[in-house]
Amino acid sequence: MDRLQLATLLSWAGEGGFRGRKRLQKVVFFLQEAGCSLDCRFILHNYGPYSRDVADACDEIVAAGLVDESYDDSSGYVQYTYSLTQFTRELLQRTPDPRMQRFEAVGRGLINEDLRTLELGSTILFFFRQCKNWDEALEGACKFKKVSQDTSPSLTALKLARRIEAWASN
Amino acid sequence: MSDKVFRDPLYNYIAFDRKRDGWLIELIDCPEVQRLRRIHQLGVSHFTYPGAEHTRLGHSLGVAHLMQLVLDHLTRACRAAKIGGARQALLAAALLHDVGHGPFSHLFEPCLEIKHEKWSVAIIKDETTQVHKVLKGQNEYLPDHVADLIDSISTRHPAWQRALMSSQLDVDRLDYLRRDSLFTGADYGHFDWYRLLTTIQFHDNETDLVWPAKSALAIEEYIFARYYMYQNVYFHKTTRGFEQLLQAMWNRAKTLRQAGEDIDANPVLRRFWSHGSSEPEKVPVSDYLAVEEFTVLDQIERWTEHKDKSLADCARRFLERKGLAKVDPPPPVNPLTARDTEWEGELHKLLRQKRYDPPEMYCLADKLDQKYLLPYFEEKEPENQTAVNTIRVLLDGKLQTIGEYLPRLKAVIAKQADRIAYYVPKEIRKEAEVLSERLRKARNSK
Repeated sequence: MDRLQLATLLSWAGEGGFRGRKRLQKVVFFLQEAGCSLDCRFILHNYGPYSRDVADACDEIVAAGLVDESYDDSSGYVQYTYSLTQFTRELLQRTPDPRMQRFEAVGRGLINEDLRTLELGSTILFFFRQCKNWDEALEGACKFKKVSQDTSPSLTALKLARRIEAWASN
Repeated sequence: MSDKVFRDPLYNYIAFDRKRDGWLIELIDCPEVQRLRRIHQLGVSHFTYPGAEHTRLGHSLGVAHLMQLVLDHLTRACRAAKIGGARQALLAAALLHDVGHGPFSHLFEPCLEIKHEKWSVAIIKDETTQVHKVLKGQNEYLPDHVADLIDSISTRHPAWQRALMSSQLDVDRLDYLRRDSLFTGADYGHFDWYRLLTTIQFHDNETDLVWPAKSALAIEEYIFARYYMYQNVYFHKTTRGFEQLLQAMWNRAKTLRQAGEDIDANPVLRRFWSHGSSEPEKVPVSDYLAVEEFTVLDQIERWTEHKDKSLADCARRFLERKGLAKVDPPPPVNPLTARDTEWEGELHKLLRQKRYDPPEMYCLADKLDQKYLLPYFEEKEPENQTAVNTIRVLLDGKLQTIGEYLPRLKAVIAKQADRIAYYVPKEIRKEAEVLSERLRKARNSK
């Protein structure tokens, strides 16, 4: 994922900035699975698919002074927020990324998705990529995340995973 | 029955118990493992550091030795049964983790368009290989278990097993930092490795691996050793120049091959390329394993007489050790985009004037990804931290990342912005630098 792609993705979060590194991991995973060529290598961590490439790209764009990082732990857990600088916003306006355009609507949808749905949904899709069977993927992911399979959150997460998979197939 | 003993410059003796681990000695004798004897551990670093002639075999034996030590420690320190079940697979994974490496290790991977990790997995799983047969002779499921431990995407086995093999502080790194330091003569890779191996402990219901706070200084030493080795050895500008040259040469050959021109490929490479893909699913393992460093050097020698002038020129430059020179580009106009078209255009113009054709063969952009320059990466959000991506110490029952515990480390582990360097023929370095300076001044004045 290069700077232009990441800046474009972060810009979709709007004025308040992009909240959470974990959310960023899952959104990038889904976008990549949807066919967006971001070239990030994911492995499975406790909270679902995780890519060092995403974490690196995020820290790098901050180090380059193109994105501001802020930190908040007032709610009891640590959360980082990423906002484009004014200079970066202007650059993006001058050089929009044609590779990302097709994914804007799905990307915006994912950014606003419930974090737990993103977590479980991405884990289901990760398992599906290995076993190619939705029932097995749901079972594997729920066992991995230690949640029940037949609850509403699990089924919502499954629906999200299937939607992204269908989107990729089209 | 006596131990099988290897003399090793790092550990003096590496010993394997013939009675208990005779199968491991059989594994070492497999042709796929012996092939590692002919692969330079550090690619073309011996162009810069003449002593860096060590191979993947010595490193693999070292990693197996360290795995043996850490497993013995964990067996003594916790439930032996927990380790016992995984011991064989972990030792085999340590020995075989690099079995898929091709000529000149990492640096040549883009030339062959391969990922060594995928090939390691393929070689272990392929029923025709000797390593597969030896593993299967021990246990029907052993080849898959070993392959899973090497395949970083696999989740079939507990995280602690994967962390020992591949994490921010694993047996692979513990060996190569010290070994590379010793053989290059760049005397930086010193740290208390024995303490790191013998203080590691299970945590969180024996699912996680951490260190006690008393080992923090040994971890700090290790991180600094990595920092110095990256700065001085792994990303040395001369070595990078030869890596760029080698890659440009092979890209040129690919372009010519795709255009239907005869590139005078030797029989081994012709067979490897005949499959139309370099993926393990398409290429028989035997055809991949046949591609050795001497195959590559033979091919480069052939190209010195090729009718394509730039291919022949690059081949000669490589064999005669006439590398490229590094030039820093001017600050970019648009830092969001990777390429600086104005600067590259000016450089191409200069190269054409000097009759370097095609100019893109002699103007090589080297994006130095900070991911590989950083001695240690620490994930920031606690929920994303695991034994694989963050080194943590245990203090009064609570986990802290090493960066939190020793804030002074931030000076070396803080992320830097990526940089691009350019490599051009040494003969025009001065003129390229003048060009870069002119553009820098023009841009700064805007």
